Amino acid sequence: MVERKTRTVYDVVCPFCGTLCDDLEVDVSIKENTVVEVRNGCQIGTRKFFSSNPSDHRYTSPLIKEKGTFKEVPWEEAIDKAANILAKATRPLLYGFASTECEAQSKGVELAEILGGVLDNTASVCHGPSLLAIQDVGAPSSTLGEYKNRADLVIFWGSNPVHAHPRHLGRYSDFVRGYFRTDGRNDRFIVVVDPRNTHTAQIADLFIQVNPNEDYELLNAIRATLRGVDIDNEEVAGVPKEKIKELVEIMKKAHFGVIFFGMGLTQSISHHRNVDTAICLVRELNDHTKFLLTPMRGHYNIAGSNQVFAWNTGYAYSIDFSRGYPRYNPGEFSAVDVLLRDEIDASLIVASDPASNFPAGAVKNMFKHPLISIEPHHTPTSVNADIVLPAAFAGIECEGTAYRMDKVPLRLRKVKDAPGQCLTDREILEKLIEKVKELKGE
Amino acid sequence: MTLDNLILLTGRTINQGVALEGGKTTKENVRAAGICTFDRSDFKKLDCLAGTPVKVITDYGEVIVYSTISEEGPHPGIIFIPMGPWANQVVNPDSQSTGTPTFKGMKAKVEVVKNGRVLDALELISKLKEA
Amino acid sequence: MAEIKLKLKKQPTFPLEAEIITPDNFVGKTAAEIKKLELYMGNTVVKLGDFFDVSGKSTEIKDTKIIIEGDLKNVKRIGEKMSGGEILINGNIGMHVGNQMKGGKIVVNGNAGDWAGAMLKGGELEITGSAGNYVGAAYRGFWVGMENGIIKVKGKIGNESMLWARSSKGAGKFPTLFCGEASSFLGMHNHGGTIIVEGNVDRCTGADQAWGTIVVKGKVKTQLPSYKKMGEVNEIELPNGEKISGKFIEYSGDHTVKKETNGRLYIAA
Repeated sequence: MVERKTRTVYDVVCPFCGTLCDDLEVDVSIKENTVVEVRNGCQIGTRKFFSSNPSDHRYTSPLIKEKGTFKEVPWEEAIDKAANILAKATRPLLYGFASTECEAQSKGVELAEILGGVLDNTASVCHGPSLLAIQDVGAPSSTLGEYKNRADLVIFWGSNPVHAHPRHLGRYSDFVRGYFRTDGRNDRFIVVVDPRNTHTAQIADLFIQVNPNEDYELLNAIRATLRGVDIDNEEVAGVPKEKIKELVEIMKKAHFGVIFFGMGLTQSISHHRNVDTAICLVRELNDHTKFLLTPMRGHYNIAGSNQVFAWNTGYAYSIDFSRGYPRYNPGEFSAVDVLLRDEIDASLIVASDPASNFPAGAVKNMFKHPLISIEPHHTPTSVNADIVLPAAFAGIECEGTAYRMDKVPLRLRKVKDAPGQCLTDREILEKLIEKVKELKGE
Repeated sequence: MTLDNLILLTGRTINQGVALEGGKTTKENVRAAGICTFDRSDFKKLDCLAGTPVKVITDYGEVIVYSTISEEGPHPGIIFIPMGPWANQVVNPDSQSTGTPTFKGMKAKVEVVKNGRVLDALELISKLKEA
Repeated sequence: MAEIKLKLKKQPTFPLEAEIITPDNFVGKTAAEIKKLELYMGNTVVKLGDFFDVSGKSTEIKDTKIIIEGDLKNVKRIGEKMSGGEILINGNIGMHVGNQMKGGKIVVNGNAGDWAGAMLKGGELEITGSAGNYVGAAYRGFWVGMENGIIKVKGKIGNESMLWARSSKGAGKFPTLFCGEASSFLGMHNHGGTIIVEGNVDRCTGADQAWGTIVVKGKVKTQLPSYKKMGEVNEIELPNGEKISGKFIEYSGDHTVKKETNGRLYIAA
């Protein structure tokens, strides 16, 4: 009898990006409880699985910082200290909730409500503007499966999937054979709109190089042209009028078009209005043919975070509980803005790394106050925290639900056990809730 | 040498993604995210070797990063720094009341560095923590 | 008018939500009672008297004049939903000043934060300094913003001012904004609002305007391609019937909304 050294887990859902690939295969060493091989994942997803293996980058016990160095402490002491900091705070910030599963996100809402703090997720620095636009003008959208099977015109606007969503093109939008697109790549016309000739643009059929900061004007010109108006300008945003007319004809003649859009629209000046006008364009194209759009969500479960926050509070992100009920206002209650105004007196950072991803001014103010980090491995946020609560990797060491970029929920698998004293995000937040409730006398 | 009238974009790259999963506090991350990518013809004007540290200056801050030549050009007048702590020293933190900082599209200027080196993520971020 | 004087005696460490400061809420109360009114600072309840010295009282809303001294840049929601009377602020003011106001007048001798005069339903809001983004705008998720009333900002205003403004000729409601200079997306999704800018504007003026009138007496940084030049005029008739004279180039738009539109943008010739 051959003794098996590894076991294989099939249909593993990848916990990296919003494409949420569900076809990974992971081999785990039975004796060592480590990831040994990952098949079908992209470079980044594969790397994430391997990073969960024990290393000096992985936290395995709770830590409290004393005189500048971390000291290992038992869970009870760490939770006690963290809960005390949060319960006493006048305006605590609970932020992140992107790289974790839905039950943990729900616990985050509960904790923020009890604390009367500000609750936000990473959408506020990413696709928050898309949500703002959708709240104003709606979103004609569908699922990735529909696009794979039907779309003969695929437009990537301000999105570079070769780098950010590596398997998107191969599974859903470009090279894959679909039910009505049986010839795969040859049955599709790919357009990329971007200021740079990105690697995605280099494999497209049509590349439109738009001036940075002028996407709004270009979309505006396209919409006007679509309405049958002959615009006065000879060139808009660096794109000649003839090219704009050509693109409008391509869009009208498609059988089923889709626009995938990314940070090029949301992180450039005019943020949500770029998305607003893109959505209106898609809506207006439906007078001529079938057209839809989907935002290319970054984290694997940020869409889930928006769903969970919304069904609990009515709002998807940037929520304030200080008055005892949820209120929503990006710009006023968004994480970066409250930090820039130094309005926060304590932060709890869960499943995210704002020290790396927030502008320096916001990070500086965040560091002025007590910082609690729920995190599996070393990040610039956790390294500078006052308390580190070691977490299991959701989707590798703990089960849960995640929502794909098209809002389809998929079940994350547990592939192996978490090392050392790690607990799941959900368990950690539950412990904090229990202790905070005790401190607040509920 | 100096280059002026540039526009700075920031965003994801696959190497930066791999590095961040591998450890944001590693040297690999510096080479993946502590860089600035130039259009080939723009870079000639800087008159230095690829890999030379350069200082990127915007209205919001400055940072020293390694220079590289873009594989995603031509894009004269545009420079690109991958998302991360280096980019965040120079992006526009203002969200115009939308919640999202303006990470893309800042006016920028670049100088070849005579004194100074590229810091790793921890060094860079620890400067933000007051004593 | 019966004056009630407030003076800020210390800066709040977190933003103070002061929607309690309106003629409607102060009328009929003594200064001692006003000092006991509760406000939120973060998740903590504080008393108005903790932050303000108070003197004076009034007996009728429309006869009430609240005068506030101090740098109130961290004080939000003053004047919210007020129906009459006056508020005079000698200093800067934080977000949401005069939001959803139905009547009366607010004057700010200083700069105002974001969402000044948001969802205004009537009355007048005057700011002698500059204002932030979303002046006279709709709040998130609302498709109807400012419905009536007048906002005057002497200085520069931020982005997306008069967002989703809606007028009603039948009801005689003409929401109007006067400003010194404006940033981008002025009159976004405008449905009948009147906007007059004494100086320059940034980009995307009148974006997605369904109908309404925007007048720019200075220069436009860039003009949206979806606006079509109609010709030159010497006089403009505003929706409320008033006239402005001067040489202007008339543009129709926003043509992304409709092929034929009554929306107009006038730029000084």
